[in-house]
Amino acid sequence: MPESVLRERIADGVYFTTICDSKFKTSHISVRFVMRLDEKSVSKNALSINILSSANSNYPTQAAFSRKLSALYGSILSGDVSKLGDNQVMTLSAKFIGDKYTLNGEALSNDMTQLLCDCIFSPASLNDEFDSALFAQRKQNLIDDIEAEINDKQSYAVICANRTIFRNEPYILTPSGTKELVEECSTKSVYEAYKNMLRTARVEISYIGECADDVKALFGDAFEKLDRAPMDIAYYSLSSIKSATENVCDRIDVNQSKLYMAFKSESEDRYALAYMNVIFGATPFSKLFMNVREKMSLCYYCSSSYNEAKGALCVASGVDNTNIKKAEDEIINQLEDMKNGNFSDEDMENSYKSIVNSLGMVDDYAGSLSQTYFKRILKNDITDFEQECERYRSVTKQRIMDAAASLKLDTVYVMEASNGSNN
Amino acid sequence: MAATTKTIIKCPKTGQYYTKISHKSGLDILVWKMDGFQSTEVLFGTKYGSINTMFRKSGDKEYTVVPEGIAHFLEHKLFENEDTDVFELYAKTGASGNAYTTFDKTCYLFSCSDNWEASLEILLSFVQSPYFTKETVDKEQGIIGQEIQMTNDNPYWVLFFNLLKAVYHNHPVRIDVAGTVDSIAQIDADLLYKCYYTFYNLHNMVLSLAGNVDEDKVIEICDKLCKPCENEGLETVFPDEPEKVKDEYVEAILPVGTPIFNIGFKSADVTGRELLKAELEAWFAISMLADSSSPLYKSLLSEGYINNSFYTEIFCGDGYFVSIFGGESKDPMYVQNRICEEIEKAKMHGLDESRFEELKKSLYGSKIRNWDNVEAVANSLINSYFAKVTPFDDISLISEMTFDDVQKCLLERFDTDNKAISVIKSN
Repeated sequence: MPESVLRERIADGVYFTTICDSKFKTSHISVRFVMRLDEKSVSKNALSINILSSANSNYPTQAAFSRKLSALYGSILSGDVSKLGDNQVMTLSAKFIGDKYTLNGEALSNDMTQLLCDCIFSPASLNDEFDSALFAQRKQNLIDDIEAEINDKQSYAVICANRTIFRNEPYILTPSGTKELVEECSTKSVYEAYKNMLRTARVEISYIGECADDVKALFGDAFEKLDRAPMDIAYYSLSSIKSATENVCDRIDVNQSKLYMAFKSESEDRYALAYMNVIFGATPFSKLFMNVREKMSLCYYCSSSYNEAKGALCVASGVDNTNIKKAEDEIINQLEDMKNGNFSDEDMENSYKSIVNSLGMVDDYAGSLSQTYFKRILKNDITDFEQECERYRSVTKQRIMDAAASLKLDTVYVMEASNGSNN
Repeated sequence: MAATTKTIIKCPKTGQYYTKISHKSGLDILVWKMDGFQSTEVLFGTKYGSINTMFRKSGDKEYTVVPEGIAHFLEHKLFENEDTDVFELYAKTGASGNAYTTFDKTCYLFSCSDNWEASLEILLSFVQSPYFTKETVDKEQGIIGQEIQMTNDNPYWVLFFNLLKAVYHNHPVRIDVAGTVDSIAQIDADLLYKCYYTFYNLHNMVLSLAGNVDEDKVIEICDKLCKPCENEGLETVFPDEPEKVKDEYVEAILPVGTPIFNIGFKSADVTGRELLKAELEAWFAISMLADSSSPLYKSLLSEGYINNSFYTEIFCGDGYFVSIFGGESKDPMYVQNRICEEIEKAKMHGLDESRFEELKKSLYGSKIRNWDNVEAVANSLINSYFAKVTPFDDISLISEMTFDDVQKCLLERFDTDNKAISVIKSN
C-alpha cells in the first residue's frame, strides 16, 4: 500500500496526484493530456507527443537528447498515445532512479523534472513551428509505425474488426490515426495542435516514488502561466448495438486465421459484466480456455476482454480455417451457459480470487499503479483496494447471469488465412 | 543426506542482498525479500531448453538425441496432472500461473498478492508429478500446432530464426523453440518421460522467489515437498560449429510494412563469468557504434534509411554469441554496409571514449530500475544462476572494465567478414 495518495488541482483542469511509496527505488512521473478522439486532430496530436518526447529547445536533436538521458543514469523519457473510450490520451513519462541510489550524489529528480517540463513547454521549435528536420523524421517514423501495424497479426485483426464494430464512432480511429492523416500534417498545423492541446486538454499528472514536493511546484508554476480552456471529458460512451449481427471476412496471406467476436451490452452493471468476463474467458481456468482450447484442442489462445468504457466484450482466437465455425459455435455456446447459470459457486469463488489477486498486485508496479488511478480519476470514482474487492464480492450469481444475457452478438470478424491448412 | 545451508549474497556497491539456500534435497533456492512489496513472484526452473537435444547421464555410453521442440512440449504437458489441470489448482489460491521455455531453460511460475505458501506447494508438487499418456500427448499436438502456426505468422519471430539459421550451421540454437509440426509429431509419452527424468532432477533445477517471501517458510515447504534425488552427472553436448556463418543473406516474403532486418555478427562462445564479461563489453561496443546517441544512428535516421525501431542486441548463451543490429529499412543492405564501414572506422581510429563513463552510469541505472520490479528480480535470479553468475556480477564487472577492454572486444567480436543478414519484405 502506498504511504499516501494526494490529488490536488494545480491549474484550471490540471491535476497532480502524488503517490508516496518509499519502497520504490525509481521515481515515475506521467503527464497525461486527455482529449476527445477526433479525426481532425488525432494524427496531429500523436505527432506532437512524438516530437515532444524526442527533443526540446536545450537538446534540439534526438541524438543530443538521448545522450543527455544516458548521462542521467539511463533515465527514460518517453511518449505514448492511446485510447480510453472515445478519448485520446497523450502521455509523456519519465522514469529515473532515486537520488540516494546515484553513485556521486547527483539529484536526478530535479534534472528530470526540468527536462520533462522543457519537453512540454519549450519544444524544439522556431516562430511557432516545430523544427523542420526533427518534424520530418518523426513524421516518417509515425507513418512507418502505422504501416507496421500489419506486422502483428493479432492486433492487426483487432484494428480491422473495429472498423465494423465501432462504425460511425470516434473509437474506430487508432490512437495515431491513419497514414493519410499523418501525411497531411505540417510543421505549422502540428504546432497549432500542440498549442491547442496545452490549452484545452484535461491534464492529469502523477508522481510515484519517494515523497518530493518540488516536482509538483515546478509543474504548478508552468501550468499556471497558461491560458486554459479545458474540455469536458466523458469516460463512458457505450457503443450502439447493431440490429442484426454483421459478419465480415478479410483474406490475408498467413497460416492461421483470426476470429474476433464482439458482443455489446447496454447494462450499467459494470462490476457484474467484468466479473462475468473473468469466468467466461479471462483466465486459464475460464470457460473459453477450458473448452475451446483444452477440451476441443482448436486453438492456442481463446480469451475475452471487457471494454467497460464502450460496453463491449470481445473474444479473440487463432484457429485453422476449417475450425473457424466450430470455434465460433462453441464460444456462443459457452456464453449461453453463462446466461443460463451453468457455472458453479466454485467458478465464482475462483474468479473472485483471481480478481483480488490482480487488484493486489497493482500497488507493486508503478506503471499499473499510475494507470489504475488515472482510470478511476476519469471515471470520477476513486476507489481503493478494499472498496473494489467489496464491489466484486457483492455481485450475485443472478447479476452475472443478467450481465451475460445483456450481451448481444454485434460483429463476427474473420481474418482468413489464404495459406491456411484445410484439413 | 547433506544438510540445508544458507549463504547471503550481497551487492558491495548498493547493499542489496538475497539468500542462496542449498537444500538437502539437492535443490538450490534463491530468495530475495523485497521490503514493502505485497506480491510474490516464484519460478521453478530446469536448465533444459530447446538447444538441449543431445545428452547423456554418467554411465550412459551413447548420447540420446531427441526431436526438436520436446522441452517446450514437456512444459505444456506438465500442466496436466493425473487427476486435474494445474490451472484449476491455482484457481483455488488466486495465483496467476504460467510457464515458458527458452533456448536454455524451462520455467514454471506464478505471481500472487496473497497466500504464496499454498501456491508454492502447488508449484513444487505438480512439477515433480509427471503424467503423460497417448491421449494427452495427441491432444496437445493440436494446441502446439496452432502455437507454431501463430509464431510462423509473426514476422519478427521468423526474421530472428532465419538469422540464426544463417549464422549457425549445426548449433541447435538455430531451431525453433517449439519445433515444427513434423518434429512434434514424433513425440510420444515414453520420450517425454525419458527427458523428464533426465532434466527434471533437482540437481539440474533451481527455485527462485522474490517480493513478499519468508525464507524459513520456504525451507519448511521444500522440506515437505522436495523429493531428494541423486546427482546423475548429466552431460549435454552440442555438435561442432564452424567459426564462419553458414549463409550471408536470407530473405522471406511475408505481409509487413517497411522491410524488416536483422544483421548478426558471429563470434566465439565462452561460458560463466567470462560470458557475462564478453556480453557487457560487446554491449558497450555496440552502443557506442549504433545507439540513439551515436553519429551512425543520427546519420542513417536523417537520410531516412532507418527509423526509431532500430535497435541493437547481444544474443549469447551456451555455445553461441551474436551481436545483432535490427530494425526497419527501405534498403537493409545499405544499412549493413554503413554498419560495416563504421566498424572498420572504429577499429582504425578507436571508438568514442567520451561515451564510456556515461554508458556505465546508464547500465547501472537500468539495473537499479529493475530492482523495483518483483517479476524482473525473480527472473534475474534464475537467469544469472543458470549462467553461473550472480545478479550483482555485472555491477562489479562494469566498475572494473576499461575502455581498452571494449576496444579489444570490437576487434574480436565484430568481424565484418563473419556476418549474416536476414530480411523480410512484402510481396
